[in-house]
Amino acid sequence: MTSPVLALPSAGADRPRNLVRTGVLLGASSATMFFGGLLAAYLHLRRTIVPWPPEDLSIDQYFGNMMVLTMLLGIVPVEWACYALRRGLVRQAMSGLAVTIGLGLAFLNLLSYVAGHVEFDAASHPYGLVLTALVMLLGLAVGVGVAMLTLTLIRTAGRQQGPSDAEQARVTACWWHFTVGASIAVWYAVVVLK
Amino acid sequence: MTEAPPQEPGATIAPPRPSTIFATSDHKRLGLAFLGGALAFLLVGGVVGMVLRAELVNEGVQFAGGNYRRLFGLHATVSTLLVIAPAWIGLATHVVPLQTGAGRVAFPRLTAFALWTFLLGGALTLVAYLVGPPAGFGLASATPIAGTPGGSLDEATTLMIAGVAMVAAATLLASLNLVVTILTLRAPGMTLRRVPMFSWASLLTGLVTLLATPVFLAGLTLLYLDQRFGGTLFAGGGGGQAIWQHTLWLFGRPEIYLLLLPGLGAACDIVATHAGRPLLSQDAARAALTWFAFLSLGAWAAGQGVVDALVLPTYSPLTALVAVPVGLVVLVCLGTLAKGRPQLHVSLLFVGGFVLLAGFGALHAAIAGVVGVDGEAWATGHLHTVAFGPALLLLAAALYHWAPKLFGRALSEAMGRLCFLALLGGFLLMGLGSYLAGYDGAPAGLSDFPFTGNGTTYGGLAALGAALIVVAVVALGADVVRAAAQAGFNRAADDPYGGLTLEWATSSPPPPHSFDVVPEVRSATPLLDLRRAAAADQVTGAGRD
Repeated sequence: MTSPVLALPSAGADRPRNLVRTGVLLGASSATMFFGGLLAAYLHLRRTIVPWPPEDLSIDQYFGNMMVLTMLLGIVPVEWACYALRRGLVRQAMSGLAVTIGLGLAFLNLLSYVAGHVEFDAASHPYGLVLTALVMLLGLAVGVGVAMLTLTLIRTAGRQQGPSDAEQARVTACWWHFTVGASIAVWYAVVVLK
Repeated sequence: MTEAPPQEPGATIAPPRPSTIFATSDHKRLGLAFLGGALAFLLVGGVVGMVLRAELVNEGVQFAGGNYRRLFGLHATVSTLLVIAPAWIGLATHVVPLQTGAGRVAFPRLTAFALWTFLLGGALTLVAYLVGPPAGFGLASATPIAGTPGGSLDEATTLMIAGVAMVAAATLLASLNLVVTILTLRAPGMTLRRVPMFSWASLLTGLVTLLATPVFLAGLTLLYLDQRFGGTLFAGGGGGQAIWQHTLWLFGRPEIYLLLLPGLGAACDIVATHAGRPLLSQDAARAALTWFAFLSLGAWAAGQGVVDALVLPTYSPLTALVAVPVGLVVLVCLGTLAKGRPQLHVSLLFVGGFVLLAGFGALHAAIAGVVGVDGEAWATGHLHTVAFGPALLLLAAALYHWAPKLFGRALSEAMGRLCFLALLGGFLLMGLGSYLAGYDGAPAGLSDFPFTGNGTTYGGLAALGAALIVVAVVALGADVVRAAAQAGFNRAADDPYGGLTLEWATSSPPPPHSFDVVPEVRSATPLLDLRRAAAADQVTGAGRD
């Protein structure tokens, strides 16, 4: 039997594709499950191990609060960048992206400072192990976000995206919002609930 | 881009050079490489399983020496992670873009990355068992690998954690790619209700994988850090036992179901194609597959009553409900065959074998429910009879069915029948031997134990079954290798079965760009619509004449 392909009516033009956005949304869902697994482990250990956190450990609320505030502040400029890009305001879009990158770097700087000054090691107590995992992976997620923002900034500066093609900026914003959500969840578990 | 192959069946075309696989982003070649890797791992797992079974034929230690636990862990890890799930991913990577009219995957380089990550991770897992027994019992036990106080990290354990993590990550990335492909790149007119059943099952499998696998990766991260820093979380009393169980369950229990889910979708497409008509109820089959996927996630919540049943939540009422969607799919398939004009193809034999084997497992589940079972050997038999056996039969069915698209030529019918008989007979015998040993109270995972009653007879039955399975795997592998090696010769017809879905609308094998013309879809069986329209035109034309 020969192929009927030539007899098939040809389809119309390609419909709009949201490949990257769908992929990043699904990836963020998976990453949410990943952080969910780690946070569930943290909460389970918190319930079963006494004392929790270790008695000789003091958690500096100031740094924790500053980190989550830094991340929250990033929501506004990244949305501003998307808004500006949709309207062809390239300079404003670049400003928004640059401010968000700065806030991301500030967060990473703060995270590395806190990680370098903790008074325990990962092996000393299960608390140390789970916290190390959470901090490492949160830092990784924010680092990926900063890399995506930088790439978007470069492409915007090179006029490779504009009002008709702002998908990358939207995708970057989606990932950034995910990292903000993850940092809030980690902050709530570690700083508020302890 | 190379030229499209000639349209005439039986023609000879030049296959692409094997070395170009390292640079390709063609979903068809990447899918085949996934399949090839999975079949190679299947051979390894099958041979190790045969050694394990042969060890239990007689009292005393004959073959495995002091390595029985290592081999057991290797067999369980390879069979669970490296064989059936990656094989389905490979098949889906090849077939789904053709079935949905996408003609490509959403992120081709991501597929290539997933392939090489899978192969490297699988190799690392094997090497881990070669350089030394990894701590713990691999994926064969709900007991985690214990951290070593002081931080001495042995190479085998590190390699195994790294290998398993890489395979899980590769599965995740490939699934993400498939889901995005199905959601965004379908041919115009192909609504989600018109997506062919194999693609629908692949979509569901991908979605469950996207939700379940990251949790397992989180558990592996904790396990690695515990090992790396010499922590005590998983050393017992550290609270890590429950964390490992749940992170492993949330991955492992759906995983066992997901081995079968794409196969059920493939069975629907195979039956409909060879019956020459649409499924009796597309919506019922689609709902059954969706219900099956939902239950696979629910299997995680089986509770403490099945704490040792790593991937076999047999005793939970929620998970027992899985029989309902499977039964519904089987009824839809039987009804389709009854209403259609089936052409007997070897792939239908495999589908029939799946029904027989699953029925055999269900029968023993019912018997166990009535008489009660003490022996863990029963669970081993059940795992092979209801999970691995049916999945492998359906995988073979899919390979024989889609061979013209995969390799450009059909697989051998005679080898197919041999493979079918050996595979079905092997799993039946192995299941029977294990079930009977289980009813006698035999344990599992031990190289030797005091044989009572007919223990050696049961062990012999199971070992014979394992040997038959290896014969089937070798036959299947040889047939696939022959077809792949001779892919350029004696090309199959583009649509050898009178297919219903879009993959049969392109040449065999498909050109690198998959479709010359992106077809428009108006129902779940676009090629059938086309034939009906052509027949109606002929009648109208004859009337005019």
